[in-house]
Amino acid sequence: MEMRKAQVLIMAGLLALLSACSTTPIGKHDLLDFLQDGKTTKEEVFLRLAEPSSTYEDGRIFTYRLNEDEGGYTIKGAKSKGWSGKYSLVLSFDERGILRRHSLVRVQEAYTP
Amino acid sequence: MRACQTALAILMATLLLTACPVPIPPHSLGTRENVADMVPAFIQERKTTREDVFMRLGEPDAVAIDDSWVVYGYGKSQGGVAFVMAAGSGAGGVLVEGAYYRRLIIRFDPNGVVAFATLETKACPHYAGGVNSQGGESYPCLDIWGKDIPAKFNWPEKRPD
Repeated sequence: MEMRKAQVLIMAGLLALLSACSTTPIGKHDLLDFLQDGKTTKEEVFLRLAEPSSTYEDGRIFTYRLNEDEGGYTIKGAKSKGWSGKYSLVLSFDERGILRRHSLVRVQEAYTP
Repeated sequence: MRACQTALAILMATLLLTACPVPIPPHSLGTRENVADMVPAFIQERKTTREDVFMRLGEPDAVAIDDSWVVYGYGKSQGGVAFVMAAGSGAGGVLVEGAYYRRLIIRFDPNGVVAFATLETKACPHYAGGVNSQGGESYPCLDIWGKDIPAKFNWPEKRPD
């Protein structure tokens, strides 16, 4: 009986050690599915993706930094020195604030010039 | 000067004799990787717009305060050697490696169209060192963050990071 108890304890210990190494994916595959050229507004973009990492041409162009895990895309925080995400999302809006064009650019790994 | 050289030689000899050398393979320096070794063919002066550039290359690493120029920077370690020392409860190390940098510099006209584009490259040693949790590293010999652009080209100031 004591032996069995020890085995269970060892198994539980091993499981705890192994599970500590795993990470839970927090990304979303459908994070960017709402983006539709000619339809999506700046407000919707703000509401879904929060503040962009940068804006250009008086707010006509937004950029976001994104990472990717097994769950899908995640938005990276504010700018820091060095590149901090696998992707750069670029959104350009028309004068009414409607998405005109967008592009998800891979900036790290698996890039072939 | 001579005393300085002697001290440096003693320090290097001490490092070699006491620290464990660890070979470091080539690795990323944490920069973006989508900067080719030539100006991309899609960038054409008086034709390509700022929006076109952003759509293809993403957010730049440096930008002018008035968006009139941008820099895309890339750096890669070519490998080197690290000297690691441990004594008591502390540890320290020095890394010396070859590094290769390139930066794509693009200037736009007032209409947001490419006026000028050039690619610069440079290879040089990269140093890093630290003791316990404190450390630092050398700044790239080619400024991939574009701080030197305004002075070098007499262009508008860089937007603050």
